[in-house]
Amino acid sequence: MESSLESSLESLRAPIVLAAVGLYMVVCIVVGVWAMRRTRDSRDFFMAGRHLGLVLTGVAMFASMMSGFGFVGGPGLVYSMGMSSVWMVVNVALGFAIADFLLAKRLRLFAGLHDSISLPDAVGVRYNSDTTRLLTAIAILLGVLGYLATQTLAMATVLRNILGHTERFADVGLVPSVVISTSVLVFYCVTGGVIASIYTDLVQGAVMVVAALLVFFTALTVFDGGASAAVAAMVSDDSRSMGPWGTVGMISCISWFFMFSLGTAGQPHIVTKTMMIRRFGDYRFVPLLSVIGFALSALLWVSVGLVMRAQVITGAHPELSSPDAAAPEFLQNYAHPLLAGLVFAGLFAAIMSTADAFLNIGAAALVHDIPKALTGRSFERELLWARVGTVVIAVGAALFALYSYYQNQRLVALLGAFGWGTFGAALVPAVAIGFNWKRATPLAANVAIATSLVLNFSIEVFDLSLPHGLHGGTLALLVSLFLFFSISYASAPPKLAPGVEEILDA
Amino acid sequence: MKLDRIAFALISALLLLVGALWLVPEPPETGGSVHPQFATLQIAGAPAPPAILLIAAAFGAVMFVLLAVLMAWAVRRSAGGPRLTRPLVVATLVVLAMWALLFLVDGAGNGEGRQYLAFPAGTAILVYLLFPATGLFNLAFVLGFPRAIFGRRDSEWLERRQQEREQERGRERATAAAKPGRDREG
Repeated sequence: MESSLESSLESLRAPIVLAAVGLYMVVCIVVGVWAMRRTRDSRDFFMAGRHLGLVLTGVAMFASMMSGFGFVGGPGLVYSMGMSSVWMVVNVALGFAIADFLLAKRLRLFAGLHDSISLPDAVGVRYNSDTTRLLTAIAILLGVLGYLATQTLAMATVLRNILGHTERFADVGLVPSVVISTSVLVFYCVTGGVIASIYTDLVQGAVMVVAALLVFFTALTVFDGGASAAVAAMVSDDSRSMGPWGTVGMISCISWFFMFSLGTAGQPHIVTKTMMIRRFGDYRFVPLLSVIGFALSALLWVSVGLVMRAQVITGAHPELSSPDAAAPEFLQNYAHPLLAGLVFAGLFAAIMSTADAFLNIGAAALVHDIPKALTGRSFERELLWARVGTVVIAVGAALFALYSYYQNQRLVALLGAFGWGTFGAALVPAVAIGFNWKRATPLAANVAIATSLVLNFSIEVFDLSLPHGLHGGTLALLVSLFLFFSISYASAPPKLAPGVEEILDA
Repeated sequence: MKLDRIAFALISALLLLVGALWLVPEPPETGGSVHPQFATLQIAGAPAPPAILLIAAAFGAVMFVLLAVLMAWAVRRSAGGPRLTRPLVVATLVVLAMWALLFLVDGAGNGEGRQYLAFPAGTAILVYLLFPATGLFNLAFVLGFPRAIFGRRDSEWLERRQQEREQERGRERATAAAKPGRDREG
């Protein structure tokens, strides 16, 4: 009886997965429509009216951080490189700590006292410079396009895998997959702005944690002999792949760790959440919620990657077509059909929760910050333009995703690491340091942002190889930090507006 | 010495260590090579030379100290800020001890085949000791929050200042409404 139920569920695997993902997308659309009624102006659209509570803020922070990069790209990296990419995970506590210490209070004070509704807004007030505001907005827009393209590609990869297992849509291509997933994302972001994004983050965060825990326990049972036997099999194939540095070596690992920890303070989609909390006194326990949520959901990243590597090495599973197929293949082959449905929805949750945060800050940069920096005022019907901007950025990112896929088949996670490095190197000096240091000058901030962008994009575009696997973002961050301090020391101390000085003194 | 100067010195030290990487000859396949049987898998390349071990160990140690200094710097002006110094120093020392242990164990053969909760010794130290140890900084934030980061007095101050700002904005709006032509020119 039980086995016949199991086999009928197994025969319905593809429809179950499709139904779970379809249901999830419908929930997102419903939340978008509901949130539209609560979005009255651009402050609601970009900052959720600054009415978030402790749980919403904490979950939104970790849900924005754990993305397609982690749920699709992460297992792919572990499958391909062994333990190396674990260094992108174990920095999370330090990353949240540095961002919280340096920025949480300052950003909330800028939001509360200067009505800043975006990061460039706060930067413009801090440095009293439209050039710095403009450069910050441009850095955000460039980073958003790259990072959003990563999410779009990850989402389309998963959707294509799901549809590929059905009879009717077995031959679906990447382009229709990109169109479908981008449409849903755009719908609920355009209608509900950050309110929709935050409330779906709550659902998405819960789905991600539950899905990751269930996958972790499933992964422990896939390999005969459990996790120890799986690791032993990989050690006997290549002992150093399971050592602390994995296959890419210690300099890559340590430079990733540095970039992902200090760089957290430069991720606009994460740090701007601190500006949205209603009472800052509630922020005390947000870091604990975020770190625990991220650490639990990262169990999927590590466990799926390790199991798939062990399965392939021992011949229990055919070699994957690409490392990015690790998570979808695991779910299609080793997870119970109902669990696969839930976890596929979880994959979408992880991707969309980050993508919507990027769409939001990108739209703010495009329709609020850049016009304000160039003309001194924002658009008159800002809410309408914010919605138009959201569509423009989503379409641009979708086109960029298709272009990078067909031009240069990069792994999802490595593209994500580039996006993270772009934000970190450009914004840590001007924002994380500058918001704590009265001596910092607008010139130093401008040079640091511009240099980091030039360095990062040169390394990426010209495919420059750095010695011993050093990560390009780490070099760019160190250079921009050095220039920021040096130029500030060499310049005359800036005269700060009283409203800024009181925040830096707080 | 001021904390900003210490931070700048540490950043300069990190940049020097990165610069030193260009001086150390790179062994073949440093970043790993393709698995002989499976094209989508990588295997490790040649082991890192001793100079790289030293640079990596020093980079990590300086990095942890820099991050702790930045955290202390962020709270230096608040009334209870100095109270966080000791927890931050303790957290840094614990993390540095784990960092040293990781290099010692990895250098001594990574536990020579023994597994600790599924992982070889060095990886187990990374996952089960170093990672949780970094959580001490979050703990310092949570415990120090009411005294050193945002206490009742800060909350009252923010509320008062927000009310004052609202009143200022109200006055500005009233002035602007009285001069509509000028506002349109904006």
